[in-house]
Formats: sequence, C-alpha cells, structure tokens
Amino acid sequence: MADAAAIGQPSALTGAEEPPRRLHPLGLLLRLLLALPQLIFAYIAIGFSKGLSSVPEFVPALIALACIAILGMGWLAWRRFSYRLGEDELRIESGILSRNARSIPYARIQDVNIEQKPLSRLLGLALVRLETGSGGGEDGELRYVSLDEAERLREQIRRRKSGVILASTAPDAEAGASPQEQEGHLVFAMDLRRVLTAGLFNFSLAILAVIGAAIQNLDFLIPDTFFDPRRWIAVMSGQQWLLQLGVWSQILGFVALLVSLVIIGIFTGVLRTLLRDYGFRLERTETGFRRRRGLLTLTDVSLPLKRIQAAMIVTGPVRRALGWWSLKFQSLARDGKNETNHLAATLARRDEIDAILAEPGIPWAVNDGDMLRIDPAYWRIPPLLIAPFVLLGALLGTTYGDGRLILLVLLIPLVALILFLGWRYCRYALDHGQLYVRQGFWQQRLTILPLAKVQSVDLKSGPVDRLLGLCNVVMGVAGGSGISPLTIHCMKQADALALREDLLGRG
Amino acid sequence: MNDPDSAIESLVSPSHNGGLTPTEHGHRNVIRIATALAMLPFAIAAVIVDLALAEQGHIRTGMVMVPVLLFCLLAIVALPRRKWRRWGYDMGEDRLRIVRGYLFHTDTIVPFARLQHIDVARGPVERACGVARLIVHTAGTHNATVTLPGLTPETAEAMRETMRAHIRRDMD
Repeated sequence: MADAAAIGQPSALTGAEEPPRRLHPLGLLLRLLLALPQLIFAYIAIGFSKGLSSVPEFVPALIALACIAILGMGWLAWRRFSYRLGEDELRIESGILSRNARSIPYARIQDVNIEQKPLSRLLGLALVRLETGSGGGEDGELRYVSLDEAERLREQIRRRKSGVILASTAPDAEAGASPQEQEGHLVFAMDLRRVLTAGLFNFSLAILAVIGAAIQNLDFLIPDTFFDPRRWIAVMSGQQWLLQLGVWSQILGFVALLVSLVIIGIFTGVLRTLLRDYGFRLERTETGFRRRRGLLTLTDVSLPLKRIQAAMIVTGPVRRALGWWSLKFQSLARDGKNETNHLAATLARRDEIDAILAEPGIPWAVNDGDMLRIDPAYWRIPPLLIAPFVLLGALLGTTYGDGRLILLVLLIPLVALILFLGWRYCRYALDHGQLYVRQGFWQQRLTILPLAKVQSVDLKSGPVDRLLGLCNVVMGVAGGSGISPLTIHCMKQADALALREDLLGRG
Repeated sequence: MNDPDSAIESLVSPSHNGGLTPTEHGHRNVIRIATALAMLPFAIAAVIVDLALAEQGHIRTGMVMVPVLLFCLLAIVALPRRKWRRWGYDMGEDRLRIVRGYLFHTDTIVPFARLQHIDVARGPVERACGVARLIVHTAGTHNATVTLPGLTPETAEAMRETMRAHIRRDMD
C-alpha cells in the first residue's frame, strides 16, 4: 500500500491494474456531522435532567473529546483504508489494527449502486455499494468517495466485467469519466404530478409509529401531567357545552378520529412518495436499466437485464379502475436495504408498462379472460375448517361470559368473503413460454415468469388437499423473498401434473 | 402419488410409490436413530417426572413412565418404516424428482440444467448405516437446497457425475 496514491491523482496506467486509492477525505467531516446529532442530543438530555444552568462543566469538554476521538479514529481508519481496481477483481483493504483484505471478482459484482443522502450531496460525496448477491449481507461499501469517482468506478467495473478495459481513460481519468459514460435513452419517467398521484395510493400510518417512538424518546420534554387523564378531566369538565353533546359527541369524536387518521395517512403517503420518487427516471443503458430518483436522498441503481428473473405488475382495486399499475422486477440482487424487488415504475399506464417490459423481453400478453381459475375450494374449505372452533368458542363465550361474544360467529362469513375476493382474482396462464400468476384482492399482483427462469417445481399437498385431490404448485425462482415463494394454490392434481410438465418441458 | 395405501404396502417392488425408486434400507435405520434421538428427551423427562411424583406419593411408580416409554417405543418401532416408505426418487433424462411425506406430501422436480452445484454428504449415523445424502443446490430462493437421503455412496456419486455433465452455466 503506497502512500503516494492519493485521491484525484490521475491514473498513469493504461493497463488493467490501477494504483490503490483512498476514500475522499471530506468523508471524515461527513461522518462527524452524522455523529453530531447524537452528541447534541446527549447534551440536551443531560441538560434537561439537571436543568440547563447546572450542566456539569466537564460535559462540554467530554463532547469535544468525543468529536476529537471520532475524527482521530476516522482519520486512522481512512489512512488504513484503500481500494484498487485490479485486473479481474476489486480489492478493498481496511482495518486499523487487524487488517482485512477483501477481493471481489468483477464477475461476481451484480450491481454498483450509488446513494447520496442530503448531507453528502452538499459535500459532493456519494456512498458506493457493491452488490454481489451473497444473501444480502454487507458486501462492499465505499463510504464516501466523490460523485465523479463513484460514477467512474461504476463505469470501470462495468467495462472490466464485460472484459473491456477502458484504455483511453488515462488522459482524463478523473474528471472525464462521467461525460464519457453513455447516457441511456429514457424508458420511463414520472413528473411531479405523477409522483403526487402515486403518493395518494401510498396510504401509510407509519408516521404514527414514528411519533410514538419520538414521544417515548423525548418524554422528558413533555410535562408529566400530559398523560394523566385526571388533568384532562379537570380541564374538560369546565366546558359545559361538551357535557350537553352526550352520545353524539362520542360518535362525532370517533368520526373525527377516523377522518384525521385518513388525512394523516394520505399526507404521509404523499410525503414519503415525494421524498423517494421525486425525479424518477428509468433509463435503458447498454446492459440494462438505470434508475435515478429521490428528493433529498438521491439513489442511482443499475439493474442488468440478465439479472431479471421475473416481472411483477402490482395494482389495487382503485388503481386498477383508474388504469394505473406499478412494475417491479425480481432480480438476483436487492434493491436497497429493505426491498427485495427492483421498482421500475411506481405508477404507470398500461402502455408505459408495456414499453418497459419490452426491454427485457417479458411481454404482458395475456388477457384476464384467458387466464384459468383455481379450484373454488380455496375459499370454500377454510371457513368450514375454522367453523367448529369458532362455533365452540362463541358457545362457550356466550354461556360463561358476555352474550355479545355470539358475534364471533360473523368471523366465518368474513373469512369466506375475504378468501372469495382473493379467489376471484387468483388466476394463472401459461402462454408463449411465460407463466402468468395473478393473486390478491387488495394488492393485486400479476407475476410474469419466463419458463427459463424456473429453477424447481414442487407439488405440495397437506391432508385436506389430498382428500379433495388438490395440490399447490410452488415455483423455485432466484431472488425475491424466501418467505412467500410463487405459488398457485388449489389446483386439481391432474392439472398440476400437466402444468408441471409444461413448465419444465420447455425450460 | 394418489395410490391407495394397499399399493404402497407392497414396499420394495419396482412400482414402489408409483414407479419411484425407493431409498436404501439403511435409510430406514437412519430415520429410526433420528426418531430415537428425538424421543430421548421425552423419555428422560418422563422418567424424572415419574420418579419425582412417586417420591411424593402422588402416583405409583410407573404411572407416567410406562405409557410415555411405550409411546416412544412404538414411535421408534413403527414410524420409521412408514416415513421411509414415503421417500422416493426418480432419476430422469434431464431432471431429478424427489417425493416425500404423507400427511404433508411434497413432490419436487429439479431440472439438471438449473443446478448450481451438488454435494454428497455422510454424517456419522449415515456412515454407520451405509448410506449417503445427495444435496443439490439450485439458484431458487425457494428450494435453494434439495436433499435426497438414503442412497448408497456409489449411487450418490454416480448420480452426481450424471448431473454434473448436465450442468450448464447459463445462470451467470
């Protein structure tokens, strides 16, 4: 590891090996800034518990010391961290005392994702995340290089992966890289209006959880009596008009609660979608898709076409009636930290979906009418199975407890109704080398799976299924969630066997 | 797979479980030992509870122990055969089919072309019983590994060789 190699020094080599490089030094500042809120928070917390004037004098000193420690350790780590583009692998060396040298072969790098949070945007820095698809762990992260360097890295890795070493980068290795990168043509984009519309369908009450958590953490800011009902009773009892409202006030209060929940939910949905999807652009590059989006946190994700396993078109009852769909791709890599599938369009018209699907060649070419239904046992049997238990529960409840427990019986038709709605939307079809599976009522999801991507097929049947001569067909597909594999429920055994032959026969 | 029980009853005939190849007899012993190991904690617990209760005079010695131990014995004697009978596999031209389970029946087919890699594994119990396990890895998140236990080591290795010839690198 040579000390000479510094950021910004153009690569003198035209060959495969590059000298080792360091991360951007401003990353240190960024790390400090990111740690600062916690320190300030600790200060405030101590301040409030002791009274601001009586904060012990050593506390500010302690915080200053913490800042210095963060900077010092960060600087050491920065000194001891280097990465280099080797001939056929990316090498990352790190560790202050115990050294760790990791080599990631280009052939194994699935995606190079670039993320810019608001602060890093201010400083012109970017986080580069290398996806190797090794079970979603921490594969390789370059915590803060300059944006230009990030884009250069992605370009270089992509070229080295396909075996082309860009020899001509030598004169303008640093700055010239990003203009050189060929801009793909735009496949899909969302304007502000579309993003806001998408937000309306993204109803979310997550904010309540956030507020709850905030209250829990900040409760030293809230007066002790705030949660004491006696205080509120005392306040309210002075208001004569409230007492006169009686039962209506309860109903009114409930309606007001519902309305405010709906408003909060819609508002949160719009806000979240705006933050995430602002400036959504999906481009077609040489090897696949490139998606950029974000209002404050910018993300830049590439998805090679070769990695796409299946397409998922998701809608809901309202969106469907208005002609909106969203599109996701199931791929070997993950989309960010929490998403398993790659979002390709949040809210799009049918023709826009078709245009995106044309790129990987997974056409949506089946009419709903041509798709086959599954056996009605799907919704008829489970209510019958739970019926004895529910009836028994209701009976015991009414005999020994409250008479209103008889309402438990309503569970049976409710379950039947929910399953029936689900059953009506559950359909499948096998057409032109693709399997279409549609399921769900509230989240209607159509999965389009090219048969070449079927890794294994299970026929599964439990005791009840066997009695009825039914079985479930479970497809093994790479990527996606392991918890709920693609399944066609409740097929007649003969149909299932025939379907499996068709699935594997052409694969 | 929809055979009436009587047809499956004729165990080791070639038409076992609807034309599937049964696993080796050694596999039955592996299942038996596994069942015995699973029953061991219950048996020990039953003995301890029995002795403790008898000590305090609540019950007579054996009132808990005997039924539990009898149940364990029954499970060890009768269950493995039934479990083993539900296993079957079929080595096709280009695919491996593995069938298992009765109450919860699973019938898996893995095309050779989609295999990632193959393991042949033997644990101490399996070695004692003279069998080996074939583990095929697919790229799928569901069925990432499919295990076929109860093969002779020779069969397992022969199967591995056959499959290896089929593996194409079309995934990457």
